[in-house]
Amino acid sequence: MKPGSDRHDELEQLVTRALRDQPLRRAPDTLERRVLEQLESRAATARWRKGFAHWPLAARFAFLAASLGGAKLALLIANWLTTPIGTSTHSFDLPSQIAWLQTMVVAISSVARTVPSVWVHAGIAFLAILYVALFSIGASAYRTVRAAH
Amino acid sequence: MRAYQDMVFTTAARLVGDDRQAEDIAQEVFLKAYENFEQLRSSPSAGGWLKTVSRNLSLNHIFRYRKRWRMFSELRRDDSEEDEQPEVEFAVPDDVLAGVDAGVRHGLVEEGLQRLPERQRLPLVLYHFEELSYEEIAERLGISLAKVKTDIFRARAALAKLLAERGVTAATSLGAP
Repeated sequence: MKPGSDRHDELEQLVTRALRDQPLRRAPDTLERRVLEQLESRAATARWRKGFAHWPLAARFAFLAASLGGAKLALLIANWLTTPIGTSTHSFDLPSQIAWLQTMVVAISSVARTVPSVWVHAGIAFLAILYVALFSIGASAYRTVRAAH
Repeated sequence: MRAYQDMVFTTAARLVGDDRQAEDIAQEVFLKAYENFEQLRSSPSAGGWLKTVSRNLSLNHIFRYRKRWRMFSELRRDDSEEDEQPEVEFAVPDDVLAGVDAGVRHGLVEEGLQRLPERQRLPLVLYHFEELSYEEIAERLGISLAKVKTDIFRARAALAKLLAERGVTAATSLGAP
């Protein structure tokens, strides 16, 4: 019986020899065609549908400016919604074309303020429980199906 | 592309252990190469660049897939770092079984590699084909040095056993004169 370390060395040499002479595998014939098709597809894709890094510089700046404007608008609206009705913040007038939007937001915010906070917390908890339950069922189903295979 | 596609595909296939995924990775490698075409066109190290990108994308693919499914599929983790190096549980073959064609032998070795579990195949391939050191493998895979050595040892034992079962032994497939 050979000692353990000798057998380990022997095994290492044996596998090293086997793998050292192993030639490259042949790539599938479809690989080159797939790459060329993908390149053609990319070339045909409109610039604005590619990633942000592929956009022209001016378009990137314009997008960033628009995003900042959108964020500022969102902050203004949020501030407006959280300010009690009747204060000076609500006194500005929106153009008549979108006055309905102001009316709707005021109505929704009024209703939202009348809902007891307990209801809101209970609703959030209920949704969280539903989410966890759905996730657990999904995980159990996956494990069951996987175990069956 | 034709000059390197076998190398790129082989690197990916040996790491991920799946031809279909390896082809996807190889495609991604060549698309990245196209994006860097100007830089690579005249570079003498284009082959090395492609091999490195192929290795990195393969490992990224494996880790991404592993993270995605770990909480669903791994009921227990089998990567205790206190593992001792196990004894070889079978006789390391040293007899001669002549008559196995070289192409068949190479096919059996590739098949054996693909049949190894990922935790064994990865360090084995990184060590023997990618020529990374134990320390580099440990860092790349985020495991301890001791575990790298144990996994590589187990991979060698499992591979030798698989080959022995298929009648491929030291003097036929393993390069002995």
